[in-house]
Amino acid sequence: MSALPVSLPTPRDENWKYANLRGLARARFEPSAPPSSETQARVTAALPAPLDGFERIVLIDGFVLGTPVTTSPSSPTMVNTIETDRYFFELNRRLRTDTLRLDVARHQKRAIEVIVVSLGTSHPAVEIALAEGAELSLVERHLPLSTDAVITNLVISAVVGSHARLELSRITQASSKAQHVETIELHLGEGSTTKVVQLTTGAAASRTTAFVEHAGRESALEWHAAALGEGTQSHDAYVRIAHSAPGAKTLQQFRGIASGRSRVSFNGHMRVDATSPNAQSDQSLKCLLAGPEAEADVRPQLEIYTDAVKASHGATVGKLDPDMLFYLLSRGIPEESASSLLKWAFVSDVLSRLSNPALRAAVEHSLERVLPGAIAARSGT
Amino acid sequence: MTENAQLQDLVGRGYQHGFVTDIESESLPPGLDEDVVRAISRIKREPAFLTEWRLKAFRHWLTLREPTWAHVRFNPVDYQGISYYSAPKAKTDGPKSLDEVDPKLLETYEKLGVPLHERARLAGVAVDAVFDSVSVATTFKDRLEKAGVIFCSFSDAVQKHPELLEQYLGSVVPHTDNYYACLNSAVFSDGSFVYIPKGVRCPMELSTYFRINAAKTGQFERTLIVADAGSHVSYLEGCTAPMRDENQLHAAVVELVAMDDAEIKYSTVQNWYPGDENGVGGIYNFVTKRGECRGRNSRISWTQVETGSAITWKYPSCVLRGDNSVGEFYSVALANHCQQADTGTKMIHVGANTRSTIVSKGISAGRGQNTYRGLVKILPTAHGARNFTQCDSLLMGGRCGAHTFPYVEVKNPTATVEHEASTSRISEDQLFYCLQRGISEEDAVNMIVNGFCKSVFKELPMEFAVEAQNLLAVSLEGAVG
Amino acid sequence: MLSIKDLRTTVGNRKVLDGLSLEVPAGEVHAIMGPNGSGKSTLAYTLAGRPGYEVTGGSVSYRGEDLLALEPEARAQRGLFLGFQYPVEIPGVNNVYLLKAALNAARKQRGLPEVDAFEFLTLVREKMKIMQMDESFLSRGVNEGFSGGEKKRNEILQMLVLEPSLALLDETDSGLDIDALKVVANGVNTLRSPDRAIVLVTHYQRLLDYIKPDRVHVLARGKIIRSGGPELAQELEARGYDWLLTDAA
Repeated sequence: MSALPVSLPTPRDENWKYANLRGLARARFEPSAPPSSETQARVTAALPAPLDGFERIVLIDGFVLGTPVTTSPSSPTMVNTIETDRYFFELNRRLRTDTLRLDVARHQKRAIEVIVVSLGTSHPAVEIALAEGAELSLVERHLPLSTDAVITNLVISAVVGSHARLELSRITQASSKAQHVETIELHLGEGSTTKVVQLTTGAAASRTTAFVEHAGRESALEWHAAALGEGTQSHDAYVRIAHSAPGAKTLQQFRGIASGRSRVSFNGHMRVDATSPNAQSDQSLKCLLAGPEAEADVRPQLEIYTDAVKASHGATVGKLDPDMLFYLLSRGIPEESASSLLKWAFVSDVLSRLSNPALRAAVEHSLERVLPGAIAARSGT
Repeated sequence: MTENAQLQDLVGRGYQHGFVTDIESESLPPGLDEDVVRAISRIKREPAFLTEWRLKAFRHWLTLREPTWAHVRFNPVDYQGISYYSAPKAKTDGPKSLDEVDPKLLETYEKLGVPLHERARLAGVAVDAVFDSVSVATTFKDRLEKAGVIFCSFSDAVQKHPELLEQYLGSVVPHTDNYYACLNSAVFSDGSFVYIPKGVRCPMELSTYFRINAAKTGQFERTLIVADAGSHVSYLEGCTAPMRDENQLHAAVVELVAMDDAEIKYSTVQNWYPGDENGVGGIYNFVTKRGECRGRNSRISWTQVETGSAITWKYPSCVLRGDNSVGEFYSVALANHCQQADTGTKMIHVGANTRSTIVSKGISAGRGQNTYRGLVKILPTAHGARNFTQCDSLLMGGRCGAHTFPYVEVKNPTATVEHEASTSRISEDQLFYCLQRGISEEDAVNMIVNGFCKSVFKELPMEFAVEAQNLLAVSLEGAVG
Repeated sequence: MLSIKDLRTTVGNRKVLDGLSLEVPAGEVHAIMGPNGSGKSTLAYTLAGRPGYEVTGGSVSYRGEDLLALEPEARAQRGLFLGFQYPVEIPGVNNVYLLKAALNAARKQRGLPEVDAFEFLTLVREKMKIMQMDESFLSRGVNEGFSGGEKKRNEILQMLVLEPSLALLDETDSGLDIDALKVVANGVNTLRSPDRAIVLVTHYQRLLDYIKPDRVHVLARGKIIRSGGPELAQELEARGYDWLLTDAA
């Protein structure tokens, strides 16, 4: 393996201040071995019910099962990024085995579900290319099949062509010892529409690094993310969105709940260049602290180089609203259910953006463990 | 009015405090080493502890590098090219009465609108005037002494109250704090010292007026304000400098200490020379200001109107150590032409039920770059802490920038932190509404901008608020096109 | 007072006024009525000089001057007042301050000295009484946090203080309950005089029960398609606009 251009980020690096990389600092990164046929069979048996109307592709330790792939990574499109921020992306490029390539031709529609399974150390890579007017609904689900301290270093790159539509629903769940780190890059073409909905739970530590560029005029992006931390987990995200073309629009919201001694952080950096007049940027970052030693860190950042702009950003960190809690208690709902219900309502801002009802139901069901009693309280049973 | 006519108007009027006072001064030759540090200490006849403190700071400074994280770009400072001490030649030694002050200096302050003659001064404001490296006059000393208030130049305090200095100096901003504060600790020349004894409400507003005059000098003043238990003081600070092509360094340190139930209100109208419209010249304003609410129920409030300087690097902060203590930061920062401002605050919540409020209004025009940078940190001990931050930016013209870089770090689940930010240009609807009422575009813009800043201006003492509004209008000239 | 000939205005790329002509002599009150989207507000904004309302043809003479050649603030200083349909909120700018600045700008244009602060406040208080406005209004920001009705009263108050020669009132009656409507109408009526003209832009006949117009005009498809006396408003109330539109087509 050729030497990486930069070294592992540390908390001294501006955009890694809140990331917990201790587990990764000790790791040995090597290309993973292909899964045996027994492993493949075990994984296949554990797969969840398929989503109606979706093609399904399974990745085990970065290997794509039974689908055409390219093995040579294509060139990265990231612009203006700090070298350190690209560390894991570069690592993935050097160590990835397969690249899952998803193309949608002009004015074609596809719906694809990608299941990602990590059993050791893996570097899964997905490249998406939407031609003009193409539509892709992509569901990405991570299955925590191993209880070992697995390491996943995922890369997703997407080029969204002019007037194309991308909906990316990302459900990342990992086992409690897992280290999860991912880099997402999106290149948005003229008049395109992109919606990302992301739910992060599980893992000892997770980190999302995302670079989005509004490259074409009038491109629109919605970014809805939620993270739930328990125990000593750490969930950190850095999302940098550059508005480089006129009329670019971004709506971003983050809802984080830190329980126990966990740490949830979100660093949302919006940049509006002088080349992007009439840009609009809305950001709402909210964190709930639900544990005595929990910690939340938010950074609603704005960097603006044109006066033809409308940007409004808000961030809050706090506890559950005692008035709301009391209201529910006074209606006879037990305290644990009441607080779960309020937390549920809090993340619903994000979950309600999942447009596939079956997926949403599955996700809500999976949250029952983290928010006990919420579903029951909600349905009144 | 056409853009051209406005520009001409601007050049015609522009910075109004840019004159140079022709006065004989005594300066150390440019350059910085331990001997220079010792020389400053010797000139000031300082006790050994202070000389040692300076040397410790200097040695530490040698190990530091200039910070690069701020959103500003500027030519490197040649620290060996600066004279670290410059003072108008005194006719007599020792403490001066106003009658002994050089008439040229008195005239300078008259021109700046800060008459030092007590009888000419509006009642209720005592002034300490700092000219380059030294304090030239402090007014109303007698009346303040009667109340038990110590208000004097830092040099006087060194001679008369060394025990207070030894106790408090560097206790909020240690000599190792940051590059510029560390440099200041080594070479600071003068500044103001205020001590308000227990239970005393300072009978008048105190103010310091800073003036850089000499060329190729830096100004490194140090202000220390101690409000003992149950006391109250309001302090104002104003700054100007001549127009010069070179960039001059101003690296000040302000330390505030508020004991139980004490209250300090610190207001600044900063109007250092901002450089010309092409970015030539202007002051580099690298200032460390920090207050510590050491006692229970104490309160420290920073209000700043930053219209000057080529580069502003300044984060007046509060460490809220005492339970129920309150920190406030109200700021208007303007960056016009080629000015760059990176300013904001840090609110560190340590004690229980501590509260902080941040209101920041940034205005960017021309090619100006205005950055709000703020940290709200709630430590695990700060039960029930609250912060509210409102951070708004106004952009005027297509070549300026407005940036907001907040850090919110919360480690106590009973805390509540709210941050709101907005960025936009002046609303065309508002502008047209004013025009339709017959108000000229320039007046309408000033009116709307002043309205935008109102929640900060109302925190300023009355005379300062009026000055701030006028200053904003002058600084914005040429920004409308 | 006001003479509009063949006025054509585009907004964005849309032609809105398409050859509109109108004469309003001094001393008269004219009502301009018409269906939604017919160009009523565009006429008001064009006369006031709002940016984005581009005149592509025709002429407007106001007290013998070429109105269209004047900047918006110059038009106002010469006595043209627009009562906004949606008065703008300007946070932090005091109501009284704006009003005083506006009055002084007009006085300066006429070569008069600035108004004395005490006299001014007396004047405002007197007009506030007519508009039945609360003392607290004096300390509030321009339209900041006002209800719809308060904003409209504030518009008329400004008009009473500024005493314009030509008042254009754009849907001043919309969003008012009957009591507020009477107050607003009373305010407008106090301003009627032989050397002033008032143009009411309105959707409904209701306001005209309280402010008797001398002439009523129907604006549709960017031009005046019918003019008449007060009885025209009654007829519109009874029959709607459709019969006129089919007539005109």
